[in-house]
Order: sequence, then structure tokens, then C-alpha cells
Amino acid sequence: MKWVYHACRVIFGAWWLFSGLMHFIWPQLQPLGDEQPAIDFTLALMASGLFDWIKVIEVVLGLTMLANRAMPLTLVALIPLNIVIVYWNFVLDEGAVEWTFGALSIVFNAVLVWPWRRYFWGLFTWRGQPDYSLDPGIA
Amino acid sequence: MRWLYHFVRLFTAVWFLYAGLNFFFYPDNQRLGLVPASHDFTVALIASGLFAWIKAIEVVLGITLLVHRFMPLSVLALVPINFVIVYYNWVLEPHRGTYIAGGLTFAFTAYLVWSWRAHFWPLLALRGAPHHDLKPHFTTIRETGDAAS
Repeated sequence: MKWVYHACRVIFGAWWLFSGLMHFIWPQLQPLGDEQPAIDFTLALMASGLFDWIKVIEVVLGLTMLANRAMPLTLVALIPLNIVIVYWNFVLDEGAVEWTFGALSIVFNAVLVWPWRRYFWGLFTWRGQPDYSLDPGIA
Repeated sequence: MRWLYHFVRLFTAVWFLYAGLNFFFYPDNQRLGLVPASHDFTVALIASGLFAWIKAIEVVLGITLLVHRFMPLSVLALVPINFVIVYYNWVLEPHRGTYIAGGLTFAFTAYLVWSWRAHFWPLLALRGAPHHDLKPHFTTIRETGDAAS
């Protein structure tokens, strides 16, 4: 399984790094989508300025994935962005290419999350006890 | 600090529950924004269909915060939603009222994250110790204490 993880990490990391950098280096290449809902959504994101922030985060996450560092935090940050990407590919801009990219995003995410699962089980605590103090409590 | 935690939790819960349910029960009351930047952004989100999903998540998070269950996951799910809410308030529609709303959103989220920090410290591991086998390894990193940061 180790080589599958590293293959997904490097491919996904390079994909995100390229996708993030492309927005700043070659903005004219930024795909807006083929169908109107996808185009409208992408243009609205760009007009709001949020798209720049998303692309900066993509660059940072691409670098951390390629370097295989800060992976638990990287994966937690990947998930909300990938939910929007998968929604864009499956709902807003339907088509064979978009479905393939959407499905690949899900698969890559799942393969990358699995080896780090011990870091995430604690998040599924049903009751838990908050810490009311100001002590950082770093173990 | 216990009362402060529960005040912040309940305030956020009611706020999210109201904002989420309002969209489904009284869609005409949905605030679209007062300036073109915020208005266009909200309208595009609604048109994409993503807004309905965000509102459904707001309802779920409102309930989990209210009943004080699944808190680490709920607080983590709050972060990206509140990031956009703060951006909307501070950047897209800046005026005194939205500065206060954005500030409260930021402060309340930060405080809830702080209260559950024990669950989040392991996520900051720089190197970490991945497990490449297929066993679930339900023992969390907090219990084994080998976050290997």
C-alpha cells in the first residue's frame, strides 16, 4: 500500500501545485467550465476575490503533499476544498472529463486519508470533554 | 471559563440553526448582501445549489452544537464555513455591523477550537507516523501518545 500512497501523494501534490500556480502565472489558462452554471460560479468566486485565497491554499497544500510534511493538517484542509471541486465536476459542469476528475479527487483523497486515520479517529468523539482552562495542554 | 464556553457554544448553535432553517422555511428572508460584491457572490452560490448544502450543514452543526455531541468534528466543520462568513463580512460587505458580526464569528470559532484543542494538536504533526496497512487502528494518536511530530 505504501507505493500507492506515495504515487497518489506525488500526483495529487503536483496537480494542486500546478493548478494553484497556473492561476497566478497563466491566468488566461484558468478553466472556467463548459456549462453556464459552472462558468457563473467560477466567475463569481473570482470576482469575490476568494478564488485567489483558494489558489494560494492549493499551492501551499501542493507543496506540503509533495514534501510529505504536515499531512494530517493538509488532509483536513483538502477535504472542504475537494467537496467544492467534486461538486463542480459532478453537478455544475457535467461530462466524462469532469466526472473522471471528480472521481479521481475522491479516490486520491481517500487513499491519502487512510494511512493517517489514527490522527482523525479522535475527531469522531461522541461526548468528549472540553478543556476550559488556558493551559495549552500540549502532550 | 465554563459558563463562557457554554454561552459561546449555545449562541453559535442557535445562530447556525436559525440561519440554516431560515433559508429553507423563509427563503424570501435570505439576506443577499447590500453591495454588489456580496450580493453577486450570494446569488451565484444560491444558483449553483451549493448554498442549500451549506445551509443543511449549518442546521446539522447547529443541532450538534446545541446537544453538545460530536463537538471536535463539529468545530472542525465550522472552520471553513466561518472562514467564508468572515471573508463575506470583512471583505465583501465591510461596514460597522458586518465588522462586528465577522469579529464575533472569528472569536467564537477560535474559542471553540481552543476548548477542544486536545483533539486538534495531533493534526499539527510535521512528520507523523502513517500506517500503510489495512487495519483500522481505532486507537487514536492521543491514546498512544506517538504523534511523532
